[in-house]
Amino acid sequence: MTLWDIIGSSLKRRWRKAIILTVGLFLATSISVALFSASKAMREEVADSFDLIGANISIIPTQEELSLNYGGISLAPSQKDTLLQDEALQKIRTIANAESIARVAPKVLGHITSDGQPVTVVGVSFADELKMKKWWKITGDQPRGGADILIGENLAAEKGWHTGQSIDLNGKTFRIFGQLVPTGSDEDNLLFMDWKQAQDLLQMQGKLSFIEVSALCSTCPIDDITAQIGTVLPGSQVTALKETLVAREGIVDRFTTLSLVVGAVTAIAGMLLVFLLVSSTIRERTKELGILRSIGFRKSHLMQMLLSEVALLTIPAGAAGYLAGLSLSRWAAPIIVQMDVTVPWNGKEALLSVGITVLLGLTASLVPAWRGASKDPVEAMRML
Amino acid sequence: MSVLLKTDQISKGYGLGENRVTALQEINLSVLEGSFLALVGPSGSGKSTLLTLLGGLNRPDKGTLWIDDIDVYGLSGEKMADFRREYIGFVFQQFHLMPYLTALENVMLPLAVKKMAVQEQRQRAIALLERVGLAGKEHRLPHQLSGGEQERVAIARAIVNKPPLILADEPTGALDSQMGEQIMELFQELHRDGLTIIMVTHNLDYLRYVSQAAYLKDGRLQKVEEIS
Repeated sequence: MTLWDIIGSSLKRRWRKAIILTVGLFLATSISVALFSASKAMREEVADSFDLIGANISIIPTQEELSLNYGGISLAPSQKDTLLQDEALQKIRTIANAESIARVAPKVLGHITSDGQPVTVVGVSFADELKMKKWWKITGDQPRGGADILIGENLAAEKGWHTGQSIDLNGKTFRIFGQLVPTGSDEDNLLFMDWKQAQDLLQMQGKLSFIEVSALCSTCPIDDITAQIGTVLPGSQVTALKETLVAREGIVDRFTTLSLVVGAVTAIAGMLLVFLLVSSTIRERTKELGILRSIGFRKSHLMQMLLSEVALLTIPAGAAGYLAGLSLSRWAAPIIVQMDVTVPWNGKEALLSVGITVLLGLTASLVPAWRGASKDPVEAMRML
Repeated sequence: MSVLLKTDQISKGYGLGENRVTALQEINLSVLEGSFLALVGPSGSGKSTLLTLLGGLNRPDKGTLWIDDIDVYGLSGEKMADFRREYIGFVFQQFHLMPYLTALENVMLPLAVKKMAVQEQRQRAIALLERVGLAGKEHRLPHQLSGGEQERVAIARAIVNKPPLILADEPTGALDSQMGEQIMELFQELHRDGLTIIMVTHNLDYLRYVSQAAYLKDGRLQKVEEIS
């Protein structure tokens, strides 16, 4: 006979209450896990959206005359003395929050003439550009640099250019590697080439028209980064392009707060249920506890027994509650938030969920268990 | 024979102020090792209160108790539990068995918190159940046993730890006279084997089984007499 034998026999005898307690905690855990998982998945979805939007900071030279437009940014075309320098790319990497900067994409803009008609050229770093502009779809091959160029749909139609064709620009030969599927923006009229090539072609050696920066803003304060870049690049305008996602993030923040409140209320309700059931069970067992005390069980033995019983019930409640909560959030989150939300299995969160459920169960049982274990044995057995 | 138990001026009351009731007053009692002492007296004389105090289930308002030279009331709560486990075996009028444990498991219960192999616990409990006449009924639950059989299980549980002192509170109180006699014979056997027993009873017929009788009245110890 060990304490575990007594615990097992006691649980078998009170199986109805054991099931009610387990189901109660299972429900509390599954609701909390569902809300937590859904709000976490939504946060991650918003972070992904930030990445999809691409650049969230633009850096342009301070200017008075604005006549070139690209991606909603107005630029002065030919004031080469006021343009940004190549060194700006390195300086941006020296700010205090440099670890939050994912990409720095230089841009060189200008006009050239082809067949007597003006063509707007944009020099880019293809490696960075293609990763930042995830909405780009290209027919043909992705340009890598050098003499590779990419052209917008309207420009291709206007000029009669096609993928694989070699064209002559200001005496240099370039090859059209790909064609941009229409985006409905300025990009449909543009010609993209490697930024170094563009500098040579436009005679802008060492000069940049503007820079786009992609910062991991879900983990850092974008306003701080903007200010820090402004400090290392005096004479430039540094603008955060965060407005587009502020509203969406606000919704998620509100949902997260709601989830935390509902989760906390659910957890408290679960604890209350445990408290009431354990209190009721211990009241029923007062005499039994008195007998055990009279035959030499310590208070600590009784506490160990009572709390182990609760722990044994809360472990499966926590594990099953996590699985049910995860399934619930997978089903409900996309419906509630109208997003394509992915809720992945997470072993650490499963363990944490079980741990928290056990902890809540034990915390709720502590007071009634202590009261039961501390009861005067004579009074408990009603000997007098 | 040496003194196993000695009390000095033990007093106990219940309630507060004007409602205060004195249950025991300045009890001085010595019990020799190997005695079979009956605590007798009318209802409300303080017999059961004294028994709970002697077993360390309760503490007096004043007075001291030595058992085997241990100052029992000087022990902390947890040490007191250890003391009860090692020194005292209780037998209650209402048996107080665990309803969801078998007879065998009930007897093994006090051993659950001792570092004793389960097999050894089992052997000892089976031997005791055989001794109290319950061979073959080891796996019955309390409600499947008669009152007398339940009392025998309670006695086996009380002695499984081999304590030097057995305290029995009206052990025949819930039994008919025939079963009561059988239980008293069992106690007498245990006494002959050298156990010290203190038993509360209001049935003076059972005094023929004991070696001493202590008479209580209104919480006071009137006299202690030897019974031949």
